[in-house]
Amino acid sequence: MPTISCTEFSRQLAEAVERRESVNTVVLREHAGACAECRRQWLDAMIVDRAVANWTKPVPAAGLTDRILAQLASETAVGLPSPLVAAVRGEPGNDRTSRPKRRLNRGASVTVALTAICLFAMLLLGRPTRPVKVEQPEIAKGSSPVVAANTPTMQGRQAVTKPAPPARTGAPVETMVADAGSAYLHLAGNAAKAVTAATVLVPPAADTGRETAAPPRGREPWVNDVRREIAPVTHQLSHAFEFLIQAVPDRAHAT
Amino acid sequence: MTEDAALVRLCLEGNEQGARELVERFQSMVFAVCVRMLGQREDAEDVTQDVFLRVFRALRSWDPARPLQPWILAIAANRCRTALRQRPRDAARSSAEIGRVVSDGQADSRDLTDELDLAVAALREEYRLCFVLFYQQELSCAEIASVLNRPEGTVKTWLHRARRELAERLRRRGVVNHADYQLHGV
Repeated sequence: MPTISCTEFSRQLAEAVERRESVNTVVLREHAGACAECRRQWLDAMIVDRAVANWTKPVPAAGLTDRILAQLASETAVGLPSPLVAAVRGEPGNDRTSRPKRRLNRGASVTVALTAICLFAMLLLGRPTRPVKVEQPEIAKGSSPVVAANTPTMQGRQAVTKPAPPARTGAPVETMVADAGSAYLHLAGNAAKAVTAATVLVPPAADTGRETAAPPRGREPWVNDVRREIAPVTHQLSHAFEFLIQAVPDRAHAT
Repeated sequence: MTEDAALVRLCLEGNEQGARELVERFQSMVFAVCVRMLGQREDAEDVTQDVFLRVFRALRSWDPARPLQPWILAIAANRCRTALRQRPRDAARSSAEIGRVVSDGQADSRDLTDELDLAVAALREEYRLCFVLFYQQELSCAEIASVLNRPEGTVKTWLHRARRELAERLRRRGVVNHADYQLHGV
Protein backbone atom coordinates (compact mmCIF):
# COMPACT_ATOMS: atom_id res chain seq x y z
CA MET A 1 0.00 0.00 0.00
CA PRO A 2 1.67 3.29 -1.11
CA THR A 3 2.28 5.73 1.67
CA ILE A 4 2.06 8.79 -0.61
CA SER A 5 0.06 9.67 -3.71
CA CYS A 6 1.52 9.58 -7.21
CA THR A 7 1.37 13.38 -7.37
CA GLU A 8 3.29 13.67 -4.15
CA PHE A 9 5.75 11.08 -5.40
CA SER A 10 6.43 13.09 -8.56
CA ARG A 11 6.83 16.29 -6.59
CA GLN A 12 9.29 14.74 -4.13
CA LEU A 13 11.21 13.09 -6.94
CA ALA A 14 11.54 16.40 -8.82
CA GLU A 15 12.64 18.20 -5.68
CA ALA A 16 15.28 15.57 -4.97
CA VAL A 17 16.63 15.93 -8.50
CA GLU A 18 16.73 19.73 -8.34
CA ARG A 19 18.50 19.64 -4.97
CA ARG A 20 20.92 17.01 -6.20
CA GLU A 21 19.76 14.66 -3.46
CA SER A 22 19.48 10.93 -3.78
CA VAL A 23 16.17 9.65 -5.09
CA ASN A 24 16.74 6.41 -3.25
CA THR A 25 14.82 7.43 -0.17
CA VAL A 26 12.55 5.16 1.81
CA VAL A 27 9.40 7.04 0.93
CA LEU A 28 10.08 7.15 -2.79
CA ARG A 29 11.28 3.57 -2.88
CA GLU A 30 8.18 2.29 -1.10
CA HIS A 31 5.88 4.11 -3.50
CA ALA A 32 7.87 2.92 -6.51
CA GLY A 33 7.57 -0.65 -5.25
CA ALA A 34 3.81 -0.39 -5.10
CA CYS A 35 3.07 1.69 -8.26
CA ALA A 36 4.26 0.37 -11.63
CA GLU A 37 4.01 3.72 -13.42
CA CYS A 38 5.93 5.60 -10.74
CA ARG A 39 8.46 2.80 -10.51
CA ARG A 40 9.52 3.53 -14.06
CA GLN A 41 10.13 7.19 -13.24
CA TRP A 42 12.07 6.25 -10.16
CA LEU A 43 14.27 3.75 -12.02
CA ASP A 44 14.96 6.31 -14.76
CA ALA A 45 16.11 8.75 -12.10
CA MET A 46 18.36 6.07 -10.60
CA ILE A 47 19.92 5.33 -14.01
CA VAL A 48 20.76 8.96 -14.69
CA ASP A 49 22.09 9.56 -11.19
CA ARG A 50 24.39 6.60 -11.54
CA ALA A 51 25.66 7.74 -14.95
CA VAL A 52 26.17 11.32 -13.85
CA ALA A 53 28.09 10.29 -10.73
CA ASN A 54 31.14 9.39 -12.84
CA TRP A 55 30.73 12.14 -15.36
CA THR A 56 34.06 13.96 -15.17
CA LYS A 57 34.80 17.45 -16.37
CA PRO A 58 37.03 17.73 -19.45
CA VAL A 59 40.43 19.26 -18.76
CA PRO A 60 41.37 22.16 -21.01
CA ALA A 61 44.32 21.78 -23.33
CA ALA A 62 47.65 23.02 -22.02
CA GLY A 63 48.54 26.43 -23.29
CA LEU A 64 45.00 27.62 -23.74
CA THR A 65 45.72 30.56 -21.44
CA ASP A 66 48.76 31.62 -23.44
CA ARG A 67 46.85 31.13 -26.66
CA ILE A 68 44.02 33.34 -25.48
CA LEU A 69 46.33 36.06 -24.18
CA ALA A 70 48.42 35.95 -27.35
CA GLN A 71 45.31 36.38 -29.45
CA LEU A 72 44.19 39.19 -27.21
CA ALA A 73 47.57 40.89 -27.52
CA SER A 74 47.63 40.46 -31.28
CA GLU A 75 44.21 42.08 -31.54
CA THR A 76 45.28 45.15 -29.63
CA ALA A 77 49.01 45.11 -30.48
CA VAL A 78 49.70 46.71 -27.08
CA GLY A 79 48.90 44.23 -24.35
CA LEU A 80 45.32 44.54 -23.21
CA PRO A 81 42.66 46.34 -25.16
CA SER A 82 42.97 50.06 -24.83
CA PRO A 83 39.20 50.58 -24.67
CA LEU A 84 39.21 48.74 -21.37
CA VAL A 85 41.70 51.19 -19.97
CA ALA A 86 39.70 54.03 -21.45
CA ALA A 87 36.58 52.72 -19.73
CA VAL A 88 38.25 52.81 -16.33
CA ARG A 89 39.42 56.37 -16.90
CA GLY A 90 35.93 57.42 -17.78
CA GLU A 91 36.75 58.08 -21.39
CA PRO A 92 34.32 57.17 -24.13
CA GLY A 93 34.30 53.51 -25.01
CA ASN A 94 35.96 51.89 -27.92
CA ASP A 95 32.77 51.49 -29.87
CA ARG A 96 32.08 55.18 -29.75
CA THR A 97 35.60 56.32 -30.52
CA SER A 98 36.30 53.90 -33.30
CA ARG A 99 33.25 54.70 -35.37
CA PRO A 100 34.35 58.22 -36.34
CA LYS A 101 37.72 56.78 -37.32
CA ARG A 102 35.99 54.31 -39.56
CA ARG A 103 33.96 57.13 -41.03
CA LEU A 104 37.11 59.14 -41.60
CA ASN A 105 38.76 56.22 -43.30
CA ARG A 106 35.72 55.68 -45.48
CA GLY A 107 35.65 59.38 -46.28
CA ALA A 108 39.29 59.35 -47.27
CA SER A 109 38.73 56.33 -49.49
CA VAL A 110 35.80 57.97 -51.19
CA THR A 111 37.81 61.15 -51.72
CA VAL A 112 40.69 59.24 -53.27
CA ALA A 113 38.32 57.30 -55.50
CA LEU A 114 36.54 60.44 -56.62
CA THR A 115 39.84 62.15 -57.33
CA ALA A 116 40.97 59.20 -59.43
CA ILE A 117 37.69 59.20 -61.33
CA CYS A 118 37.96 62.94 -61.95
CA LEU A 119 41.53 62.62 -63.25
CA PHE A 120 40.50 59.76 -65.49
CA ALA A 121 37.56 61.75 -66.81
CA MET A 122 39.81 64.73 -67.44
CA LEU A 123 42.23 62.60 -69.40
CA LEU A 124 39.36 61.17 -71.41
CA LEU A 125 38.05 64.63 -72.13
CA GLY A 126 41.51 65.67 -73.24
CA ARG A 127 41.37 63.10 -76.01
CA PRO A 128 39.78 64.02 -79.37
CA THR A 129 36.18 62.98 -79.86
CA ARG A 130 36.31 62.40 -83.59
CA PRO A 131 33.18 61.22 -85.39
CA VAL A 132 33.74 58.37 -87.79
CA LYS A 133 33.22 60.34 -90.97
CA VAL A 134 34.69 63.61 -89.82
CA GLU A 135 38.06 64.56 -91.25
CA GLN A 136 41.07 64.53 -89.01
CA PRO A 137 42.08 67.81 -87.44
CA GLU A 138 44.70 69.85 -89.19
CA ILE A 139 47.28 69.14 -86.54
CA ALA A 140 47.00 65.42 -87.04
CA LYS A 141 47.01 65.71 -90.80
CA GLY A 142 50.02 67.95 -90.86
CA SER A 143 52.43 65.89 -88.86
CA SER A 144 53.25 62.49 -90.23
CA PRO A 145 54.93 61.21 -87.03
CA VAL A 146 51.72 61.76 -85.16
CA VAL A 147 49.67 59.96 -87.78
CA ALA A 148 52.11 57.10 -87.71
CA ALA A 149 51.97 57.04 -83.99
CA ASN A 150 48.19 56.70 -84.11
CA THR A 151 48.60 53.24 -85.56
CA PRO A 152 50.84 51.54 -83.05
CA THR A 153 49.36 48.13 -83.75
CA MET A 154 50.54 48.09 -87.32
CA GLN A 155 53.95 49.36 -86.32
CA GLY A 156 54.09 46.77 -83.63
CA ARG A 157 53.35 43.99 -86.07
CA GLN A 158 56.16 45.10 -88.33
CA ALA A 159 58.52 45.41 -85.43
CA VAL A 160 57.70 41.97 -84.12
CA THR A 161 58.04 40.28 -87.47
CA LYS A 162 61.40 41.87 -88.24
CA PRO A 163 63.51 39.82 -85.84
CA ALA A 164 62.39 36.63 -87.61
CA PRO A 165 65.19 36.53 -90.23
CA PRO A 166 68.03 35.96 -87.75
CA ALA A 167 66.16 32.94 -86.45
CA ARG A 168 65.87 31.54 -89.96
CA THR A 169 69.55 32.10 -90.62
CA GLY A 170 70.57 30.23 -87.51
CA ALA A 171 71.71 33.27 -85.51
CA PRO A 172 72.67 32.74 -81.88
CA VAL A 173 69.92 32.75 -79.31
CA GLU A 174 71.34 35.89 -77.64
CA THR A 175 70.93 37.81 -80.88
CA MET A 176 67.36 36.63 -81.25
CA VAL A 177 66.54 37.69 -77.72
CA ALA A 178 68.20 41.06 -78.22
CA ASP A 179 66.26 41.61 -81.44
CA ALA A 180 63.02 40.66 -79.77
CA GLY A 181 63.76 43.06 -76.95
CA SER A 182 64.57 45.84 -79.39
CA ALA A 183 61.35 45.22 -81.24
CA TYR A 184 59.40 45.33 -78.02
CA LEU A 185 61.06 48.61 -77.01
CA HIS A 186 60.30 50.03 -80.41
CA LEU A 187 56.67 49.07 -79.98
CA ALA A 188 56.66 50.71 -76.56
CA GLY A 189 58.17 53.85 -78.04
CA ASN A 190 55.48 54.00 -80.66
CA ALA A 191 52.81 53.54 -78.07
CA ALA A 192 54.31 56.38 -76.05
CA LYS A 193 54.23 58.63 -79.08
CA ALA A 194 50.63 57.69 -79.69
CA VAL A 195 49.64 58.65 -76.16
CA THR A 196 51.54 61.93 -76.42
CA ALA A 197 49.92 62.66 -79.77
CA ALA A 198 46.51 61.91 -78.32
CA THR A 199 46.94 64.75 -75.89
CA VAL A 200 48.01 67.04 -78.74
CA LEU A 201 44.98 66.08 -80.80
CA VAL A 202 42.65 68.08 -78.58
CA PRO A 203 41.57 70.79 -81.01
CA PRO A 204 42.22 74.40 -80.15
CA ALA A 205 39.37 76.43 -78.77
CA ALA A 206 38.90 78.35 -81.99
CA ASP A 207 38.50 75.16 -84.06
CA THR A 208 36.05 73.45 -81.81
CA GLY A 209 33.09 75.25 -83.29
CA ARG A 210 34.00 74.16 -86.83
CA GLU A 211 34.13 70.47 -86.07
CA THR A 212 30.61 70.06 -84.80
CA ALA A 213 27.53 71.36 -86.46
CA ALA A 214 25.92 72.87 -83.35
CA PRO A 215 28.16 72.83 -80.34
CA PRO A 216 26.81 73.86 -76.97
CA ARG A 217 27.46 77.45 -76.26
CA GLY A 218 29.25 77.04 -72.97
CA ARG A 219 31.56 74.30 -74.15
CA GLU A 220 34.59 76.22 -75.46
CA PRO A 221 35.66 77.80 -72.19
CA TRP A 222 35.03 74.54 -70.38
CA VAL A 223 37.20 72.55 -72.79
CA ASN A 224 39.89 75.14 -72.54
CA ASP A 225 39.78 74.89 -68.78
CA VAL A 226 40.20 71.17 -68.99
CA ARG A 227 43.10 71.54 -71.39
CA ARG A 228 44.79 74.00 -69.09
CA GLU A 229 44.31 71.69 -66.13
CA ILE A 230 45.74 68.65 -67.80
CA ALA A 231 48.59 70.58 -69.36
CA PRO A 232 51.02 69.75 -66.50
CA VAL A 233 50.06 66.09 -66.71
CA THR A 234 50.61 66.08 -70.45
CA HIS A 235 53.94 67.77 -69.95
CA GLN A 236 55.03 65.19 -67.40
CA LEU A 237 53.88 62.31 -69.57
CA SER A 238 55.75 63.70 -72.55
CA HIS A 239 58.92 63.94 -70.51
CA ALA A 240 58.50 60.43 -69.22
CA PHE A 241 57.92 58.99 -72.66
CA GLU A 242 60.79 60.96 -74.13
CA PHE A 243 63.02 59.58 -71.43
CA LEU A 244 61.87 56.06 -72.27
CA ILE A 245 62.45 56.60 -75.95
CA GLN A 246 65.92 57.99 -75.32
CA ALA A 247 66.69 55.04 -73.07
CA VAL A 248 66.08 52.59 -75.91
CA PRO A 249 69.41 51.44 -77.35
CA ASP A 250 70.42 52.29 -80.91
CA ARG A 251 69.59 48.78 -82.10
CA ALA A 252 66.01 49.35 -81.10
CA HIS A 253 65.82 52.45 -83.29
CA ALA A 254 67.46 50.54 -86.08
CA THR A 255 64.65 48.00 -86.10
CA MET B 1 34.79 45.44 -3.64
CA THR B 2 34.22 41.76 -4.46
CA GLU B 3 36.98 39.47 -5.70
CA ASP B 4 35.43 39.42 -9.16
CA ALA B 5 35.23 43.20 -9.27
CA ALA B 6 38.87 43.53 -8.20
CA LEU B 7 39.94 41.10 -10.88
CA VAL B 8 37.94 42.88 -13.53
CA ARG B 9 39.36 46.20 -12.43
CA LEU B 10 42.87 44.83 -12.87
CA CYS B 11 41.99 43.75 -16.39
CA LEU B 12 40.45 47.09 -17.19
CA GLU B 13 43.61 48.80 -16.03
CA GLY B 14 45.55 46.77 -18.57
CA ASN B 15 47.21 44.48 -16.05
CA GLU B 16 48.36 41.40 -17.94
CA GLN B 17 48.63 39.32 -14.79
CA GLY B 18 45.02 40.16 -14.02
CA ALA B 19 43.96 39.04 -17.48
CA ARG B 20 45.91 35.81 -17.04
CA GLU B 21 44.26 35.16 -13.71
CA LEU B 22 40.81 35.75 -15.14
CA VAL B 23 41.44 33.29 -17.96
CA GLU B 24 42.90 30.67 -15.66
CA ARG B 25 40.08 30.99 -13.16
CA PHE B 26 37.29 30.46 -15.65
CA GLN B 27 38.79 28.56 -18.57
CA SER B 28 38.07 25.10 -17.15
CA MET B 29 34.44 25.99 -16.67
CA VAL B 30 34.11 27.48 -20.15
CA PHE B 31 36.02 24.68 -21.80
CA ALA B 32 33.95 21.99 -20.08
CA VAL B 33 30.73 23.56 -21.28
CA CYS B 34 32.12 23.92 -24.80
CA VAL B 35 33.31 20.31 -24.96
CA ARG B 36 29.97 18.98 -23.77
CA MET B 37 28.04 21.20 -26.08
CA LEU B 38 30.16 20.78 -29.20
CA GLY B 39 31.44 17.25 -28.68
CA GLN B 40 34.82 17.98 -30.28
CA ARG B 41 37.90 19.09 -28.42
CA GLU B 42 39.34 21.23 -31.22
CA ASP B 43 36.08 23.08 -31.73
CA ALA B 44 35.77 23.54 -27.99
CA GLU B 45 39.25 25.11 -27.81
CA ASP B 46 38.43 27.53 -30.61
CA VAL B 47 35.13 28.53 -29.06
CA THR B 48 36.73 28.88 -25.61
CA GLN B 49 39.25 31.27 -27.07
CA ASP B 50 36.48 33.18 -28.78
CA VAL B 51 34.53 33.34 -25.52
CA PHE B 52 37.40 34.95 -23.64
CA LEU B 53 38.10 37.43 -26.39
CA ARG B 54 34.49 38.49 -26.20
CA VAL B 55 34.65 38.59 -22.43
CA PHE B 56 37.57 41.01 -22.55
CA ARG B 57 35.92 43.12 -25.20
CA ALA B 58 32.71 43.38 -23.19
CA LEU B 59 34.26 43.57 -19.73
CA ARG B 60 33.38 47.22 -19.46
CA SER B 61 29.68 46.36 -19.69
CA TRP B 62 29.81 43.82 -16.85
CA ASP B 63 27.74 44.84 -13.83
CA PRO B 64 29.97 44.59 -10.73
CA ALA B 65 26.89 44.02 -8.60
CA ARG B 66 26.41 40.62 -10.22
CA PRO B 67 28.70 37.60 -10.10
CA LEU B 68 31.12 37.17 -12.96
CA GLN B 69 30.69 33.42 -13.48
CA PRO B 70 27.11 33.42 -14.82
CA TRP B 71 27.96 36.35 -17.06
CA ILE B 72 30.85 34.45 -18.62
CA LEU B 73 28.77 31.30 -18.85
CA ALA B 74 26.07 33.20 -20.68
CA ILE B 75 28.64 34.31 -23.25
CA ALA B 76 29.92 30.74 -23.52
CA ALA B 77 26.40 29.39 -24.00
CA ASN B 78 25.71 31.89 -26.74
CA ARG B 79 28.95 31.13 -28.52
CA CYS B 80 28.26 27.38 -28.36
CA ARG B 81 24.82 27.85 -29.82
CA THR B 82 26.25 30.00 -32.59
CA ALA B 83 28.96 27.42 -33.32
CA LEU B 84 26.37 24.63 -33.46
CA ARG B 85 24.24 26.60 -35.89
CA GLN B 86 27.22 27.33 -38.10
CA ARG B 87 28.05 23.67 -38.42
CA PRO B 88 27.12 21.91 -41.62
CA ARG B 89 23.95 19.90 -41.37
CA ASP B 90 25.83 16.67 -42.00
CA ALA B 91 28.15 17.33 -39.08
CA ALA B 92 25.24 18.09 -36.78
CA ARG B 93 23.47 14.94 -37.82
CA SER B 94 26.54 12.80 -37.41
CA SER B 95 27.02 14.25 -33.95
CA ALA B 96 23.45 13.41 -33.04
CA GLU B 97 23.64 9.94 -34.47
CA ILE B 98 27.08 9.13 -33.23
CA GLY B 99 25.78 7.05 -30.36
CA ARG B 100 23.69 4.81 -32.55
CA VAL B 101 26.33 4.50 -35.25
CA VAL B 102 29.27 3.83 -32.98
CA SER B 103 27.91 1.44 -30.47
CA ASP B 104 25.16 -0.63 -32.00
CA GLY B 105 26.04 -4.03 -30.69
CA GLN B 106 29.05 -2.68 -28.86
CA ALA B 107 27.29 -1.28 -25.83
CA ASP B 108 28.96 -3.72 -23.49
CA SER B 109 32.41 -2.53 -24.49
CA ARG B 110 31.80 1.08 -23.63
CA ASP B 111 31.63 2.38 -20.15
CA LEU B 112 28.78 4.32 -18.74
CA THR B 113 30.50 7.70 -18.94
CA ASP B 114 31.13 7.41 -22.64
CA GLU B 115 27.58 6.31 -23.17
CA LEU B 116 26.33 9.28 -21.24
CA ASP B 117 28.48 11.57 -23.41
CA LEU B 118 26.91 10.12 -26.51
CA ALA B 119 23.44 10.38 -25.08
CA VAL B 120 24.00 13.99 -24.05
CA ALA B 121 25.29 14.81 -27.51
CA ALA B 122 22.01 13.58 -28.93
CA LEU B 123 19.90 15.83 -26.72
CA ARG B 124 18.22 18.93 -28.03
CA GLU B 125 20.42 22.00 -27.76
CA GLU B 126 18.56 23.67 -24.90
CA TYR B 127 18.17 20.41 -22.96
CA ARG B 128 21.86 19.70 -23.38
CA LEU B 129 22.90 23.15 -22.24
CA CYS B 130 20.61 22.96 -19.25
CA PHE B 131 21.85 19.48 -18.30
CA VAL B 132 25.52 20.45 -18.67
CA LEU B 133 25.14 23.60 -16.62
CA PHE B 134 23.26 21.70 -13.92
CA TYR B 135 25.48 18.66 -13.59
CA GLN B 136 28.85 19.84 -14.82
CA GLN B 137 28.87 23.39 -13.53
CA GLU B 138 26.57 22.55 -10.63
CA LEU B 139 24.47 25.66 -11.14
CA SER B 140 21.05 25.82 -9.56
CA CYS B 141 17.96 26.04 -11.73
CA ALA B 142 17.66 29.73 -10.81
CA GLU B 143 21.24 30.39 -11.90
CA ILE B 144 20.72 28.52 -15.16
CA ALA B 145 17.61 30.56 -15.75
CA SER B 146 19.71 33.68 -15.30
CA VAL B 147 22.41 32.43 -17.65
CA LEU B 148 19.99 31.38 -20.35
CA ASN B 149 17.66 34.29 -19.75
CA ARG B 150 14.68 31.96 -19.36
CA PRO B 151 12.08 31.45 -16.62
CA GLU B 152 13.12 29.07 -13.87
CA GLY B 153 10.11 26.88 -14.55
CA THR B 154 11.25 26.42 -18.12
CA VAL B 155 14.70 25.39 -16.95
CA LYS B 156 13.21 22.79 -14.58
CA THR B 157 11.08 21.40 -17.35
CA TRP B 158 14.08 21.15 -19.66
CA LEU B 159 16.15 19.47 -16.96
CA HIS B 160 13.53 16.79 -16.24
CA ARG B 161 12.94 16.15 -19.93
CA ALA B 162 16.67 15.87 -20.48
CA ARG B 163 16.97 13.32 -17.68
CA ARG B 164 14.03 11.32 -19.01
CA GLU B 165 15.45 11.23 -22.53
CA LEU B 166 18.87 10.25 -21.27
CA ALA B 167 17.46 7.41 -19.19
CA GLU B 168 15.40 6.22 -22.10
CA ARG B 169 18.42 6.28 -24.40
CA LEU B 170 20.71 4.52 -21.97
CA ARG B 171 18.14 1.85 -21.33
CA ARG B 172 17.38 1.39 -25.01
CA ARG B 173 21.05 0.95 -25.77
CA GLY B 174 21.34 -1.72 -23.15
CA VAL B 175 23.88 0.13 -21.06
CA VAL B 176 21.71 -0.21 -18.00
CA ASN B 177 18.39 -1.81 -17.39
CA HIS B 178 15.91 -1.83 -14.66
CA ALA B 179 16.92 -5.31 -13.61
CA ASP B 180 20.19 -3.80 -12.34
CA TYR B 181 18.26 -2.00 -9.67
CA GLN B 182 16.51 -3.74 -6.87
CA LEU B 183 13.80 -2.25 -4.85
CA HIS B 184 15.39 -3.07 -1.56
CA GLY B 185 13.00 -3.21 1.27
CA VAL B 186 9.93 -3.18 -0.89
